[in-house]
Amino acid sequence: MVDRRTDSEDGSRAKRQKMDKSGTDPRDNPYLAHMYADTSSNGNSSSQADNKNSAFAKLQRHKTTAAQAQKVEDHEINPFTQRPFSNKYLSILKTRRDLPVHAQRDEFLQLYQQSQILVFVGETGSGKTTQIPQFVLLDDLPHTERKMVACTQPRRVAAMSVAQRVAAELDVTLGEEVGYSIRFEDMTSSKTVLKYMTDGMLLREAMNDHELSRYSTIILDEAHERTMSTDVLMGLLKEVVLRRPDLKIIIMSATLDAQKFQRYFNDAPLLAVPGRTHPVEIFYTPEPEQDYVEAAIRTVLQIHATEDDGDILLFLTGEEEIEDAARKISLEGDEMVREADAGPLKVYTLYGSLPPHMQQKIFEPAPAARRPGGRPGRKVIVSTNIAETSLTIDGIVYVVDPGFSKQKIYNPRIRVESLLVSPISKASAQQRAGRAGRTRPGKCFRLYTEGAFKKELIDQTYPEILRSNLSSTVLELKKLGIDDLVHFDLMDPPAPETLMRALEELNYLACLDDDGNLTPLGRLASEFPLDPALAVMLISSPEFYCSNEILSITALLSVPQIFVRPASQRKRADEMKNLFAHPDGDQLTLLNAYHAFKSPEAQENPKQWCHDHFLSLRALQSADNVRMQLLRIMERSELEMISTPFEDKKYYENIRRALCAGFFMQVAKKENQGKSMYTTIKDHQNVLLHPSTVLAHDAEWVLYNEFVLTTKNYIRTVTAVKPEWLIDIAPTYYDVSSFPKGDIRSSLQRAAERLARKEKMRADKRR
Amino acid sequence: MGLAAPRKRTKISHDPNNTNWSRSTSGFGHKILSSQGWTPGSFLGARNAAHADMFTAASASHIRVFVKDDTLGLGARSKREPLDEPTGLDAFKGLLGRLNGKSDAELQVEQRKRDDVKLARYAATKWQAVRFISGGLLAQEKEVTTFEKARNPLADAKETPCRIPEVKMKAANATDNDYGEEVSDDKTESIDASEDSGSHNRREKDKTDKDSKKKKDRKDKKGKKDKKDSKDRKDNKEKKRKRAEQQEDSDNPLQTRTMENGTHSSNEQDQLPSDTVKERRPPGRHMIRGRYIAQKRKAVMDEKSLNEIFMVKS
Repeated sequence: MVDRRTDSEDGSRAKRQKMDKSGTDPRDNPYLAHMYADTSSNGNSSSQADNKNSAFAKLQRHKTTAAQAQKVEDHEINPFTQRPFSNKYLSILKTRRDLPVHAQRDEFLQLYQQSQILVFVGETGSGKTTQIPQFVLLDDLPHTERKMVACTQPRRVAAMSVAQRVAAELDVTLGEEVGYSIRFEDMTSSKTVLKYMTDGMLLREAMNDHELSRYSTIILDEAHERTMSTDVLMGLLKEVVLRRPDLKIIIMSATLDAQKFQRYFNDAPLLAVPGRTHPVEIFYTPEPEQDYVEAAIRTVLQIHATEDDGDILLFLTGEEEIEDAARKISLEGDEMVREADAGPLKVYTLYGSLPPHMQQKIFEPAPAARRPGGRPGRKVIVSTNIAETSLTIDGIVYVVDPGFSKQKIYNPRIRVESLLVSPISKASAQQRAGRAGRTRPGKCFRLYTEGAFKKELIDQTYPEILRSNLSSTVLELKKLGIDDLVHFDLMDPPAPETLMRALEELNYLACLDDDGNLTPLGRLASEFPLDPALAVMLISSPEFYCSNEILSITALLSVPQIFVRPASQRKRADEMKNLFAHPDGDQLTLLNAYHAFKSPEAQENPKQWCHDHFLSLRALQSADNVRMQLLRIMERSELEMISTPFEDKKYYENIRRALCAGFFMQVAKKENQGKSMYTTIKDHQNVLLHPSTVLAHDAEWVLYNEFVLTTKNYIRTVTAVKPEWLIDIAPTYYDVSSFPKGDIRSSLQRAAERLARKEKMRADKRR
Repeated sequence: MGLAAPRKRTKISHDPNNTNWSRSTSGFGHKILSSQGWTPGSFLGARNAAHADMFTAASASHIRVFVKDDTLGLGARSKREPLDEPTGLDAFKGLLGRLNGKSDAELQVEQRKRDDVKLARYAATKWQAVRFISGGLLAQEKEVTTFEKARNPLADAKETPCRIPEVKMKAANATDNDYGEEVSDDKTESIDASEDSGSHNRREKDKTDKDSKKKKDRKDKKGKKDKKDSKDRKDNKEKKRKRAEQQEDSDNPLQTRTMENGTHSSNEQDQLPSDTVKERRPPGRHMIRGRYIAQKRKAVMDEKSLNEIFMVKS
């Protein structure tokens, strides 16, 4: 199952990053502020500003002007802390006043005061994420109402570092007047008036407080990214504003799709601020390329050979492709240096599963010329679509765009959610091209024809809500008190079949009763930031005496793959994996590896141990972290943490049974003829076991974690189960009479008979 | 698929779309949705939503994509495809056309076009086709220079087999519809261009159609006043392109003609001449060859080495 926590760190979700200055010093980048924490906050702390002498005294709520606000900002005393402003504050203030949004402060305040909902469009670099919340703060004066201003971000890293930056700009301590709240971390206090948070977090708060009564203004930033949580929040806020006339909403977006936002919010007023961008010249190929990877490599090399200095950004689709291309470019680049005296070429890679310190490397400046007066060096960044919106790398002048990205797709009919390489949208192609014009006029090389751009690409990227399994969203909506799912006003309503599937799954999991109402189990499951199937598995695990183990497995399934298999050492990696292998399946193998990792021997030097055993330390550590967080929720929900003694021969069997409690809808049965061919239950899809499985014997029935779509359909991470367990644990789903005649039905029939016989024998014995 | 094609054996499921599930109306989900007032075939979402006309097809049914497991570029078709056309397909197309009520004159024109394509393909496979890059119009020096600018500076380093982006508008573009606002300028402009250079045998298009497009174009321009910043540049570029295209049309009749065959998807046609002309080389060789040519050229530029080549003593 794919990890669908709304604010997962994998970075696959697009995010635009704004810069306050166009310099290349990462210290000036507000999104990296967390890295330079010590320099930007000054450790001030003092009591709340209720003083009559405060600069706030002259301000009247919702009647301020830009001039008044500037006066407050220019005042010697910080109205929030009652202390004199530091020098650092004054220097930041100057750069803040240079931002494009500042020029339109009066216009903004007028529109903000006049209307309840405002759509704000600001291009990258306009300063909207850092400045608009501050503009609001000085007009809304939320502390006078004992309320707060909230600003949502699609990604947790952004929420953290923007909060850090804004705290420095206001000369307050992070966590006091300005704070942030992300999953598992709350950096706010009773003094907090401005709170940056992930959109998922605000949604969680809304579940317990349907009116969002703690907030006077809610700003949805990066709305154009259309994350699942932002989409649901927009639908929700549209209803809340009717009940709460005092609540103000600002939707902030990049230029794309602004009219759609406006229309959706009943023709709300729109304010647009231009960004700081330079012209980008676009080039197409005269003919379609036969091999886009190879063409991309050639283009990069040719740019290096023939174009003026300036860094190159190349978009490719996945980790493997990126690493491969980076290697080739760097080899050819070195040769170019040797043979033709080209400038040095440095290649960096960037993708979601790359550890953060490696991701930071892309901010290193381009290499210098090899000798004074020689050709200047150039850096090439080969990236997934993270670099499309989420990160801004200064110095990029050339963009190479093959027109593909990996995108999530959900097919409700066969219930498969998968990441597939598909053509990008026109909007995304424009976004990519725009990356070239951040610091000076740039060029974008598209590896397709202009005709292909017009015909093969869709206009807008489909929002996440149209491409995902909705079961956890439906659970959230139910928890938010929305019962009429059909008429819930979403900006892009999902396909009816997708909603049907979600409802069906929740019903089988007993999270919804037969009338579609939330059950106590469903209520409990919605507490977990997990897929409902995993949450239900976790909740029912104490019944199988193995909640500790299931908790570990759940955590391991929610993080990236822990087994590492480098191309050069496949054999050795497989041998090491076999050390942990359990003949009954991959989930148990994961558990064994995790237990070994937690053993004192491994903990002595975990880095070395993981390296020796071809395990990913980062994945294991994050699994550890997820496990701890989930444990906290389990304890709060008073779920018992127990284990079967390891010596007990039912140790593994209990775990396999507990897995059935969550995954009974993801089961496949072996076909009678056809080697290792399986058929999924109910959906009747032919699948093969993924080659990575450790399953030692030809299991008749297996449950799987993931259905992988390629030209062949694979099921990955499988565990052998018995049909008796399935009938026992999920009797409604495995109601024999509901199956069509055939192999599966007769096998289930036999299992049911065996089960009945056993039951009878047990009853006889008791008598 | 020819015999040489890689074998991909996959067993197709009994019901790969699971229509069994999608057609059933007895499921729990169906029941709940119907009870909340949903009728099969309708969209979800608010009643009379103001933004309802902005819904996409993905709100009706899930998004479908092709599983892509190769590195074929965007818009490219597999190399083998155009040669794979079954024999007699053109005759069959003619038959279908007649059944669809087309006049004999029309059919003759179509048949002629197909024959032209065939001939072009034959020639291209038989003798390696020579490809030209437009060098501007004679005696109009101004235009020549602007056109030079319009070309990608990268192209200066061309003639190596590395084909790299070069601004060039395909005549085929003129025949597409429904690009959306953003691109409508381009479209009309290119139609104009092809009109101007009336030398070729393009099928007569509906004049009124063009006129309405032009009108729309004008309207768009008005509406886009706010996007002024990038506008000027764009116009400029368009003019250049227009010129570039004129060149293209007159220089490369073979290409234009193939592209005019309106019945195929034009992508396939984009492909046709090039497909048959260039054989596929492994990427490594491309680079090696490119380097080889570059070396040669360098040698030619250098007087000393030139002398060595011609064995002239200096």
